[in-house]
Amino acid sequence: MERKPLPLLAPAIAAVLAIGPALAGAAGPAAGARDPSIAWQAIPGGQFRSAVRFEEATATLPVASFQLMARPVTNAQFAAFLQRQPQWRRDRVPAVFSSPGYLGHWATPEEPGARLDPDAPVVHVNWYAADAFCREQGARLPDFIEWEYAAAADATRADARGDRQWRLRQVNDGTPNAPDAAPDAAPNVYGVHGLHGAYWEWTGDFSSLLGQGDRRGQDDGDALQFCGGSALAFNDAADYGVVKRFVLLSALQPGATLGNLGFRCARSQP
Amino acid sequence: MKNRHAPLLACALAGAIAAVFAGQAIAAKPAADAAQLPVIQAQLTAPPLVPAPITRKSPAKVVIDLEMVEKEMRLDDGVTYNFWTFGGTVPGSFIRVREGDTVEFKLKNHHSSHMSHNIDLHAVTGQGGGAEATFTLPGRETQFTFKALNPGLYVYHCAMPPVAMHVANGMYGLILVEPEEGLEPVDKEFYVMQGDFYTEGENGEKGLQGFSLEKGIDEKPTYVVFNGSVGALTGDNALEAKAGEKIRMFVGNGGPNLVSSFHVIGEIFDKVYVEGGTKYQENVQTTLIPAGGSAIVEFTADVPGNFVLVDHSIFRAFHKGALGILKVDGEDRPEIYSHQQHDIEYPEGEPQGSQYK
Repeated sequence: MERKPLPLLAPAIAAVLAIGPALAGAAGPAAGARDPSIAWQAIPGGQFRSAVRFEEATATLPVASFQLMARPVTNAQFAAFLQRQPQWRRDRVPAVFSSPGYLGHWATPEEPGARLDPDAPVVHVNWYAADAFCREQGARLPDFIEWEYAAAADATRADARGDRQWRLRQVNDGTPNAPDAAPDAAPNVYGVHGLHGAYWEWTGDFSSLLGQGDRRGQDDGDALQFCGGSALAFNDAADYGVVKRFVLLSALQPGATLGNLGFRCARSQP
Repeated sequence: MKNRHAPLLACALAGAIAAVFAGQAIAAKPAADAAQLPVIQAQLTAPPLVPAPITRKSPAKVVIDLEMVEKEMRLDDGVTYNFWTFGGTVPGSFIRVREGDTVEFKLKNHHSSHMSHNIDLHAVTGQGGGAEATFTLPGRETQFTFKALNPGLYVYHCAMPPVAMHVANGMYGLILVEPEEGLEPVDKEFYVMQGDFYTEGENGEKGLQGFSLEKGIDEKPTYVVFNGSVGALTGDNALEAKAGEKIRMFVGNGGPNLVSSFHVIGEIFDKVYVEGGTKYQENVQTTLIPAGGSAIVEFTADVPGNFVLVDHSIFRAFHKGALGILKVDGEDRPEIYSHQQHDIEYPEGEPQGSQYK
């Protein structure tokens, strides 16, 4: 097993991600077990001005072309994954990747049960399991900036963020009142559904969103002087949909599970 | 491998790092002298109630358990709002400790919450007022300990980005740090806190109303209310006292935007502990309460009547909800206030008015 034990710090995740493509290619039988029910949409890359102020401090950052699942991973898709990879069942998952809430809302270790919609996004999945699901699909979890890039689009525009009214509605992201919360909400211009939905979604780089471990000590003094100025971390502090998501993801530990946190996978363009 | 971008580190987020990655290391340092203190579980109250005065004459270790809950509640008749709360109410639970106490603060975030929250208590001397120690995900509990160094009436609020949205949704309350000598005894104590709310619909528009970020940024509230809703302190919910009773109100202002011109129609505050501090002003008609600030007002209800609490920025009172009632029962005292003594016509002198040439 190539995974790193807890605590999984940013550099460790970066290392895991770096060998991700090689792993998927070498996975043998697992790589052949791709879920045909998953629809992928192409996201053409481009230069992007994130609402998050990344340390490069350049006006825009490059985002390479990638593919993103059209919808978040569903209960049914995750149950099928557990059939293929039963070591990720809540009653079998190794302790180091386990967490108390992991799939705890499912009726059984194998099935969500009748009280849950099979087509609803799976939640209470920790980062390890989400990562494993994506690897099995020859994919990976998206980076935060990839999510933000794809989520900047509305039904007709690749970057709709200049539309203030559209953006203001995103204050409800992560709740049932979010703009894309309804299952029949229109897809964005890439054909991707639910990026501003009722659920947060894991990103591959969630744990590095606050900077790398070895920089924390030396930056502490300066950074803390900005107290009350958390808006300083953002190019656009009024982009509440992004700010809320960023703040939530940045606090997660890889074993965390939440009732409104799901995931979808991305894959780099070959 | 794609480009990896590391975001710029900044304040509250730096605190989160400490909490998330160094949690074990920072949590294991109890105050050295706290071990000998008696341990007391704080009794918190929902507004407009206030916990009983502290009778202790020495410091204690006070344990606070507070749970943050997001819930749909009434904002006005036929109008609901998704409030984010400390303890299930707006304003949040009232906390009462004593100067010199060591306060062990346990903060829970309900499993049903859609995002993380924290708390910044203005009574705390220390990083972020506790915010850096309480980055609390749904379903989690965080803890920190502080010593209540300064007496006074302090606001607490959520300081999780986007801070303004958390405050606008009702995440604020009051913590009283009683001075060592205690407060002068009174007959009634009340907890009143003003807040401004920003809904997508107009004032009075029925149904569940979403938060309007636009109105919040423009500082144009749809509602300005005491204790979290229109009518929270009127009708059956009016505050009640008896004539002759001495009354103390702990008044806070959660904001997020407006400053309150707090006034009780028909009363004069005998004392106002200005800005919730130690000094008092006497004989005050209207006291200014900043957003994120407080005042303690005291007066004796000499005569019966319905005394109206308002923000004297008066359109807010009559058009946006900032209005409450203190209903005082008892015997009239005509030597203080007679009620109407007559209503008669009086002879007109030199004719005046636009109808005359």
